[in-house]
Amino acid sequence: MELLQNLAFGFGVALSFSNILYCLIGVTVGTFVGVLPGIGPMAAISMLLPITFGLDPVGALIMLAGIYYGAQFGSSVTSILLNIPGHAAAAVICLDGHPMAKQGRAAVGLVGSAIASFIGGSLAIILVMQFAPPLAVFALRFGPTEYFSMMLLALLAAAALTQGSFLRGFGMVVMGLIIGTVGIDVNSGAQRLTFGNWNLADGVSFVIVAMGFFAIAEVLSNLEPNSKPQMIGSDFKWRELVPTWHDFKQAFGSIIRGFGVGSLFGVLPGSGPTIASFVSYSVEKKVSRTPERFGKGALEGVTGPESANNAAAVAGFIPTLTLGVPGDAIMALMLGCLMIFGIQPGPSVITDNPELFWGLMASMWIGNLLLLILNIPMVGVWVRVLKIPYRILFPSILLFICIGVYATNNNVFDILMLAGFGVVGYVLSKLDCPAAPLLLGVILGPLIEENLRRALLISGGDPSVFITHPISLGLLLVAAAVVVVFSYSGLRARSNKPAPIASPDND
Amino acid sequence: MAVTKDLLSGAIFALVGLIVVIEAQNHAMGSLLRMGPGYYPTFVGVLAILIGAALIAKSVMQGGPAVPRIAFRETAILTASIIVFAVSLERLGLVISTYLLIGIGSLAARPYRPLETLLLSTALVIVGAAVFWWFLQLPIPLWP
Repeated sequence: MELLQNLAFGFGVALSFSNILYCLIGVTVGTFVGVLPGIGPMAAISMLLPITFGLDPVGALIMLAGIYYGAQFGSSVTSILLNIPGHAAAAVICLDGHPMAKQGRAAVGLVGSAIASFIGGSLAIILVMQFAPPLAVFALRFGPTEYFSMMLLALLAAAALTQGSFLRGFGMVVMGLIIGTVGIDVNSGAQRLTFGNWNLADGVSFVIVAMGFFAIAEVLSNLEPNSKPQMIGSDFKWRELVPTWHDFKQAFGSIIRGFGVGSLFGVLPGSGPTIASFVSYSVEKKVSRTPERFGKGALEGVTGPESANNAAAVAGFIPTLTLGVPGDAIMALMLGCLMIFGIQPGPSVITDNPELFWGLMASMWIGNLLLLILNIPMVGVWVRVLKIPYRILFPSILLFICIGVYATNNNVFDILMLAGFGVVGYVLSKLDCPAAPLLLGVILGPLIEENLRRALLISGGDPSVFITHPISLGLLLVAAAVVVVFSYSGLRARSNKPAPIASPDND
Repeated sequence: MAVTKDLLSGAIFALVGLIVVIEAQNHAMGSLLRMGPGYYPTFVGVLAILIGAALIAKSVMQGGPAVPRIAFRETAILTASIIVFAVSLERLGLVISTYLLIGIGSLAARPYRPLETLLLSTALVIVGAAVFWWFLQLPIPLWP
């Protein structure tokens, strides 16, 4: 019954007028940005981050979470109606969602997708509420040795699970670790990699890296002369077609399976919603008695991945909030935001900041419900948003990013660094080097060095400590397994399918 | 020998690693027991060099997809507009630097429409000032 008490407490926090307002703003702005061509959730969150600086930490996190799942829903809308995925995870939704729209069953697809998101997300919230507190208690026993291995697992998994080769992903992780070493070393006061520039003494903020590597690089890719971020789709016809009982029965199993897949990949550090939705799609195809329907408008092909996607997004908060080890780049960004607000994520977050944890959980429910009731009637509006020309869109994005970067530290040098990271990020994306592992490296870099140093200090300089501590050994074995399995299985090839918007490489 | 994606990314990784290793030699190395500030950067830098070398070797032995065309013109224009914005923001104020940012940045899109750009910049100046100067109260001057 403790759970119900905590839940009531959480709803008390989330149902305050201001927090509902932040949630509503986040969900609406997130959906708006998610529908816009050429902006994924990652760019959306980093772009809108400075707007939350004026809020209290709980409100800010609620709004950011709202932006996150709003943006995901926005991507699903365009995937189904116009075959344009806003980000990699939504590319799966296109496979069966758009054929459904062509058959005049767009409403069923959209409602199914929204309901699947809601159920997958809701079940995952219960999972987080059940397992995060005991995991946090367990994590209190973690010493620097275990933390080091945990972060190594996150970094290796991130390298193995993204698009492109493992070697390039791993290289990007190392680049991120290098960016993380810039600045004054806390133990000795030595200025590392600053080259005498005082602006670098405090290190490089992850916000600048995220905006450069995601937002600016995305703008540059979309500005390529041969790229067409502006795909004005055919006007969709809103043929009212209420989903039948048969549809629901068909979709129900897939939603539950999607939740299972999603929570598994959400909890595993270094993976995340994209992998979860791809795996869920192949699971649905395997268990289906009529696999030939897939790709031609099978409802399970939409609801399964959609449920997995949202469950993974929610379950990703488990390692992020309890261990301080984020699952994917978006969670890494959330983690960084918490640090900006002066909250050190880790096992004690739930006990020290209960209003943050339980309030966020409750607000995710409210937010998912808001998505469901607000956005289905507004689909027509969102489709019209798609028609904003890119030449109007990108200068606006540019201005928001530039002022946003300035706002984090009130330092113009940060804007110059943004330009540099943008160019480097764009070139590296042309070389199929994924940016997400790099960002994870930037955020985890200082933590991993600190824990490595401490672990070796405690063990008397004996590196074998990482394999003699059982928890640490277990984590390292999982890391090795993830690298071997995912680097050499067919999954990578599948998750490699380029999404026209998310990775606009038209070569 | 064609410049492949593996070759170029490997070269970038190795070069960055080399710079990091060289820079790290300015700092004390220490030992495994008590690491100095130079230990970890040296380790990470060597790792980057090894990964870069592996990618270069892979490219030489197996080949691979070539580096696609990179939009130099657009990249240069966008970078220039951001640098101009950075330099002018604190000196000329938010209004003028926004006009500069949008005016220069829009050159990257074709066709260039001067009137549309002017209207867009004006709208963005109003929105930007409302959100960042008035609402968030950032310490940016509006005018020189």
